[in-house]
Amino acid sequence: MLLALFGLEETRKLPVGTWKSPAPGFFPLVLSFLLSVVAAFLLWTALAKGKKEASRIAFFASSAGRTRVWLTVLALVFFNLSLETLGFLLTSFLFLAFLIRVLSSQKWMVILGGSFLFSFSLYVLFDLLFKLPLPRGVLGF
Amino acid sequence: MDIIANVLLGFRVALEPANLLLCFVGVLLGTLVGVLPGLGPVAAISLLLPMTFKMTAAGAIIMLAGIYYGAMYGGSTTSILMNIPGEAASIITCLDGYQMARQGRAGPALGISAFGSFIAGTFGVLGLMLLAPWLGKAALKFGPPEYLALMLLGLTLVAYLSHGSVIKAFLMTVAGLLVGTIGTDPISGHQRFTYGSITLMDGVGIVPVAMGMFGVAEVLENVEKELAGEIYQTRIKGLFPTLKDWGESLGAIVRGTILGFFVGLLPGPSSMIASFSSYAMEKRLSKNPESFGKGAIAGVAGPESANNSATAGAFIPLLSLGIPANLVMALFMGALMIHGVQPGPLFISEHPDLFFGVICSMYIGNVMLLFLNLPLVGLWVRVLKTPYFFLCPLILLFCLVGAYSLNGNVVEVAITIFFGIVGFLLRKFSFDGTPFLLALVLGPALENNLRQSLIIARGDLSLFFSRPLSLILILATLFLLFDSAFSWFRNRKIPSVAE
Repeated sequence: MLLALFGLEETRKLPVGTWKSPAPGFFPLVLSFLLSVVAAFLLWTALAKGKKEASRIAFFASSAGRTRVWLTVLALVFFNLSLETLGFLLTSFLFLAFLIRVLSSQKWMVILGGSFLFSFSLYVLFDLLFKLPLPRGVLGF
Repeated sequence: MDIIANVLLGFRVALEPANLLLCFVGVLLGTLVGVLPGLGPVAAISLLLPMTFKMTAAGAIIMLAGIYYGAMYGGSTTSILMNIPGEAASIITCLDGYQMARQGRAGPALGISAFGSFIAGTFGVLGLMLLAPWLGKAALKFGPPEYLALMLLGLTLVAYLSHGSVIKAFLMTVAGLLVGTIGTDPISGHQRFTYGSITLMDGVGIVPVAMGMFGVAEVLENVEKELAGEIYQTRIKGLFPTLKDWGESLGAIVRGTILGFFVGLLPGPSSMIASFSSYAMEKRLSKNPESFGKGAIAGVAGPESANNSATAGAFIPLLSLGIPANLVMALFMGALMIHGVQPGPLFISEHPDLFFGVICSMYIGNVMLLFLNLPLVGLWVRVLKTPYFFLCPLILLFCLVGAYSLNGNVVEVAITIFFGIVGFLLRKFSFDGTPFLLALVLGPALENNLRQSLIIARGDLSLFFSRPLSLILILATLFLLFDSAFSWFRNRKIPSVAE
């Protein structure tokens, strides 16, 4: 619904044209309107159903699962923000080490060794083998 | 004679050492992807797409195609040994395949699955080779109204066949079309929803969205639930089916091959629909339907054959009409366009080496898969034991690096992460991402055809009903819409029937 309302608002800034000669805003306007109708209908059915069903289903299966998901999202955001600053090797090493630690109770030697091995392998695969340059970062690697 | 010359040309392309190697790498990776639960061909092809930039168009498509049909072969292994489907099309194989394993017949189950897949895959490719050029010639008569009607039918069918709520699927379709309008309008050059971002001026790319919604989201789901399965612990012996097994399976393989091929032509999750339909058909035709679900070999042979021939059928709408029938084909479309090749009615006549090269490599790939799947089944069992705490972070890293390497742009990484979170939330609320992604791919072409049609018709919508093919397609679309609405109202009135 939010997407539909956003679309309806933004397409006001674009020329819509006419049926005979549709302009850039025509298709987004039609879609935004259609989306708002379907979303409103779905919302109405969900609210009607919600009144009949008293039970509430937990969003996450467990609190441990919720924590793992949040930490994974945090790691993803860290990766995006650090990639061009710290460079691929260091960022991916930290990313992998953090996530393996979150998902398991392995010994640190295993975590650090595995993280280094995988991040270096991907560097070789993408940068050296497939010639798809990866960022070096301020440390030069 | 023309087709023989083209086939010879195709084999010449397919047998080039580089393409042969890429075919092998593709089928090997595909089998691996199929074996590992949680990583389907969509995510795998998205991850590996950036690696194909430096390859030729033929090499890229050969490798990616190998991943697609290889995943169908590999998916049956986990279904049979772990009762966990390696990918969606192998769900139904769990029913009888796992029961056969529990009865000490894992070998014949794996064997008939591999042989059935090989036979179906080979005949499917033959059908592709014969039907696609014919359909391509017919499609030259299509105009913007026909293309628009076909795309509308395709999107409606995908939403109609989507698992879960049809209303939610329609919502996702419209949302995908709307997100597809982000970028520069191709006709007027106006910026739509870009807010000055250079990245968004080119639109939202399908690869970061696919990697996000099907790679990152899948991992987030696995991370939450900590997927673990028990591998059936036994020595797998007797991989070659007996004469009795062949007697019980041959009919199922033939029927599954034909059914799967034609289902593959339809938009939507064709491999999954093909395997389910084949199972239902075999159970109905069987003299002992009560044996299904308890280790009936026909319940493995039919579906596994159907899903493999469906992969060949799915190529036809893309290569001859330029319309991807499912997500994997949408990614293939992206791969072709990255290499400067436009799929559509002129594709086969303009690029016969590419078309027939890919076809012939599929024949070769099917042979490779037969040798990979049977002797190496012990290896795949070991791969299944890879701990998830290594696999999940690695898949995520692959997604992120893949997104970055598209254009060396960290914004693409942010898009992948954003759609990964969106995809995870959508799964939680039982929304299917497939209609969204397909709509995202088809949206620009759909809009183009709509605007051209309206200009041709000068706003008169009766144009769509005055052209015979467009009329048939529009009526089919309306039928599906009304049927969905009718089913919804009927279920609301009699909730016990729906339950």
